[in-house]
Amino acid sequence: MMSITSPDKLHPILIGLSHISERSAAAIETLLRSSTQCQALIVAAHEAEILILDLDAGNPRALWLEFRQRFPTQPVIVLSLAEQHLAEVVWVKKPVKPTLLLEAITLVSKQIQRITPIQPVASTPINQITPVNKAQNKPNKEVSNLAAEPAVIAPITISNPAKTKSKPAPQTRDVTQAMDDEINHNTFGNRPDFDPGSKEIPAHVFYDPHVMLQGLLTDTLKVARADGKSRVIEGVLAVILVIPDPPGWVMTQASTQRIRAISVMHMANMQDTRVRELIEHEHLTLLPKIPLENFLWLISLSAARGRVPLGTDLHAPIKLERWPNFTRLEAIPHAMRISALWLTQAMSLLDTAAHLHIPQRYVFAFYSAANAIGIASIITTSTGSKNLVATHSTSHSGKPVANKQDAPKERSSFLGKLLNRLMRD
Amino acid sequence: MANYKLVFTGPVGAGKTTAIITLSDIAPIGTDASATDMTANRKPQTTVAMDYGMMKINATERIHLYGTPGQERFDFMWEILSEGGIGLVLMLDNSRSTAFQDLHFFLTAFKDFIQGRGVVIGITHMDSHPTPTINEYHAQLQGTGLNPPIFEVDARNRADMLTLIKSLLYSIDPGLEEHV
Ligand SMILES: Nc1nc2c(ncn2[C@@H]2O[C@H](COP(=O)(O)OP(=O)(O)OP(=O)(O)O)[C@@H](O)[C@H]2O)c(=O)[nH]1
Ligand SMILES: [Mg+2]
Repeated sequence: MMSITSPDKLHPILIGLSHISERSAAAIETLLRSSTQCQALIVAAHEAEILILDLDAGNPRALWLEFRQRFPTQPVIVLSLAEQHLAEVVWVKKPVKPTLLLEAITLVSKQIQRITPIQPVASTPINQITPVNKAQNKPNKEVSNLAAEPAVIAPITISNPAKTKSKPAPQTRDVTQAMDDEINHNTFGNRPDFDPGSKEIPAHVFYDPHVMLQGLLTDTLKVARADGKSRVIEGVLAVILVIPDPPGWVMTQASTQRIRAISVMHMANMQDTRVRELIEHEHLTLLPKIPLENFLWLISLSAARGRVPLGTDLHAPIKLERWPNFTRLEAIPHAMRISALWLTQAMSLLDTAAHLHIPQRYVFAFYSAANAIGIASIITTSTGSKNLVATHSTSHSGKPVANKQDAPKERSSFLGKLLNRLMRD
Repeated sequence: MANYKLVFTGPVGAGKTTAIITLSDIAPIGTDASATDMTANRKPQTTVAMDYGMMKINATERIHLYGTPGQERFDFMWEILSEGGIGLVLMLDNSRSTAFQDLHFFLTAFKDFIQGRGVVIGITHMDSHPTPTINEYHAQLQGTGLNPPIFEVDARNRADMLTLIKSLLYSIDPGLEEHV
């Protein structure tokens, strides 16, 4: 597999999105994040090295002209249902197959890289490079052929190699469905459960928060809380202001998508990372303000990808202090059921998954996020790990209750029906 | 068939009427009147009797939504609310300086109702008044024997209200399953 990095190899390649729906944008972002071959980040269009444009978002011709007016030089990947033959453009047919989109990004990234040594001035505009006009007659040119071309960007069609000759067969899965699966897989991983009875715990259920943004933020927060002074984290492809005043705030311009993407990266790859004190009257204080808890939840959930922090005892009971503020936190499947259970009785991560009949990765994801915001932890008992411990009597609201007046069965079935009515909404 | 209901309570202006409007399948039957002297400086409309709304669950079953008036005279409707009540939705207005007193007042007033049922707390107006924080509300309940869901909500936001009600159902019965 080819791998994608930015020309300078230090930073991920910066991708901008133009006329892409919010839903597809989220899908593309998670696709990039999940890809092992790809260190790429979604950034604002004007900061991007490569742009992705959905040409079906309006009149294609008008859209294209307007786009080139705004971004005359950026390499671009065009998405559309109808085949496009635009100079200097890589085209990916819709519905977009995730693999083909990655391939297109890889291709364009390589082109940028090859241009750099030939044109020593790094800022050489791409539009000064002669497009291969003849290539327009061969829109279905194979990717491998192109890789052998000199440093030019020609119109290229990225399509499923098996289907390049004939008209593409109707796609069986449409882009949103495929991308939805990607989102789910990439936020929570897609590892199957492992046998809780097995002696060896596979290494892939663990992640190391310390080498990621989560660790950097937690460390920064400690320092900030110790002296009560705000800190600025820089050099992580975003500027993040950490304010220790209770309950704690984060200020950043970076979008949720971008934060997610940064959260999965190893900080070791970010050479210019630095943390400094906030200088008084700095304009940073005008940035959008996010409660620290919501921010920590988001980055730990993104970093965890369905895993738990290194060293977590999967057999030890978990204690949940309180209900998370679910209306303002990134959603995790089954998180409410897990909360209700843990507030009734402490139970281990593995037993929780088995007890609720849900994949382990959701329990792991929820634990990682709740642990990061400080409301879930392992109960360590002197007698070693026990799997079931009754929680302190103060958390009785989660107890299954039998209302004396009602037949419990009838009521329980009513609650189930009401729940499913709410779920349908 | 039992006549199940959810009860919405809380101080004046916390968003009880709005929450019922947000959730109800029918145009809610409001009993709002121009505010008396007591509340006139806070809001133009206040509920003097009870709000009522309803959600259809299927062809035959309904959940009834009752809102108490926000002026601390709900003892007269106690009987109505208790029968078939499955849980309490306490709405609190974060912009009130007395928010914590409100919390304790309503939990005490509805102590018997909560017993054997469920309770959730929705904190409104946090958009304009971010403090006190959700954590501080939880801290208020330490040692009271209660540890209910406490969420930031905007009573006008249906997703917020649905999330709050879901948490009520799960806290009543953690064994409930979604059949999606
Ligand atoms: N800004 C803001 N306004 C809200 C929020 N929740 C509710 N409101 C508004 O607050 C006002 C009062 O809400 P009501 O539903 O009338 O309050 P109530 O609890 O029924 O009040 P009483 O009947 O007087 O006891 C309405 O204008 C709502 O739209 C919120 O979270 N933020
Ligand atoms: Mg009202």
